Amino acid sequence: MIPILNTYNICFLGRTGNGKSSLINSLFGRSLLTDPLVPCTKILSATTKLSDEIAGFDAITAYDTPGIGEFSSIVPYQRYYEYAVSDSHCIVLVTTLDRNDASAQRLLMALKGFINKDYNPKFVIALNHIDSRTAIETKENEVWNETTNEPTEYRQNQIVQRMDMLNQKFASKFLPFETIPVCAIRGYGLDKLKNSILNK
Amino acid sequence: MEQKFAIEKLLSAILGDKVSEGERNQVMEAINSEITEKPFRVAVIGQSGVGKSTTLNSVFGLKNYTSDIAEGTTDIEEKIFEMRDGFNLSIYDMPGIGYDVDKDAEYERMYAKILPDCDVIVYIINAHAKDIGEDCRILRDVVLPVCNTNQIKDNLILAFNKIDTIGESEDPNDPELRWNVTENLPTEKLKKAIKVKLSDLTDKLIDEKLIGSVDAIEPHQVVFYSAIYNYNLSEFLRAITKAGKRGWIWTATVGFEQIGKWSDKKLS
Repeated sequence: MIPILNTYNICFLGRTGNGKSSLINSLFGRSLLTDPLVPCTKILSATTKLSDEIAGFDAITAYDTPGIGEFSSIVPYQRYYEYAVSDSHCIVLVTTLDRNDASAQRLLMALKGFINKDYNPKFVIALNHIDSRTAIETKENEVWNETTNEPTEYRQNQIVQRMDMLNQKFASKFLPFETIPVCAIRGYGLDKLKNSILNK
Repeated sequence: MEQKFAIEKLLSAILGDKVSEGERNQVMEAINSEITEKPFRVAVIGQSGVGKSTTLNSVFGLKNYTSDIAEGTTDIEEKIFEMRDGFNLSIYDMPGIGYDVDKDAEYERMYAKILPDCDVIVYIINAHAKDIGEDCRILRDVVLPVCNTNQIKDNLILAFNKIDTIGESEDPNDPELRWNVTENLPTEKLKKAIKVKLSDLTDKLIDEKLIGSVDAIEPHQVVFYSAIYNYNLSEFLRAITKAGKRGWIWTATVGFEQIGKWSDKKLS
């Protein structure tokens, strides 16, 4: 008899360039291609890893979806998104401090009907790249404390504001959610994010 | 007689002594009334952070212009700037689109109201953004339908800003990919990266049917530039000149004066 893996599936969604692939790499230790200049995840890819981290499951599968916003409609990738969302126990929206959320909101609203009710999926927003500098920052406003490897107080305030904004913009658009600030390349917030994704 | 605007000099050169002074004044009066009759009205649209204000600084010469439109609001403000000799510039500065779906729906209604009165509609896109699909959607589903319905498609300029930063997203640590500030030119390596990117962007516009099809815009309505380095602005000026029925007025009056001294640097 062929053994069937009972997998806990996680679907990663997000605007192109927000670091979905590198976040999956950091969380589950695999090497997806990342390319800074052109959008590179053109297909749906699934990584499965045997794991006893979640009771009742033999393995974790991460769906890496193409970035939102690369095309003017979701049509080219629609079936990838629909399939991944309908097969997921947890849906993770990867976002950043960049406040242009309309494209992500629009996608989630279009996918709401594909949520698998039997799975009663969890929805998590990963606020990635929290060490990034934007045009409003000046030299005086350091955003990252290198010694403690955490955001400075100045940046912490911006993160709180951004989280409030996400609460307003995504309330009732998809599912109830919690937001976890994270910086994949600095290894900040990854455990917290992983726990949020895996702990049902 | 003192010449007020660039157009008068041009007109004198063309007409020479082939017409009488009275006839020349008659023509000039007609042109002047066209110029001063109503302000030259410009709408600047784009996602937030694409450089709407810096474009108003460098291309339209509104030094130190900063927008006081708060993100996520639906205020539209028309600002009139007295250029000189009765010629006024009017700017519709609008909140960045793409911030929130519900707000976007309101902006779309505002565009339908405002754009038909504009002489030039500038849609700014960040040239190094990876997700210009969102801009294509806004253009195709919102801006172009308004333009086509009101027969003002010629008034639209698709402006790709920040071509100086294309190298940074490729490799932020490579000095060869940074802007040559001394010469105010892209380095050779950056120039290559820019050309690759511009060709990608052009392909994208064709794929999205924004150029090269009926109801689409013409290639001369697309410009690539850098507002902070005043780079390739002459192409921008040319696009304004060709825009719609009244685009020529900008160039005929103060257009050349408003662009910084570095602006003769062209993308070659």
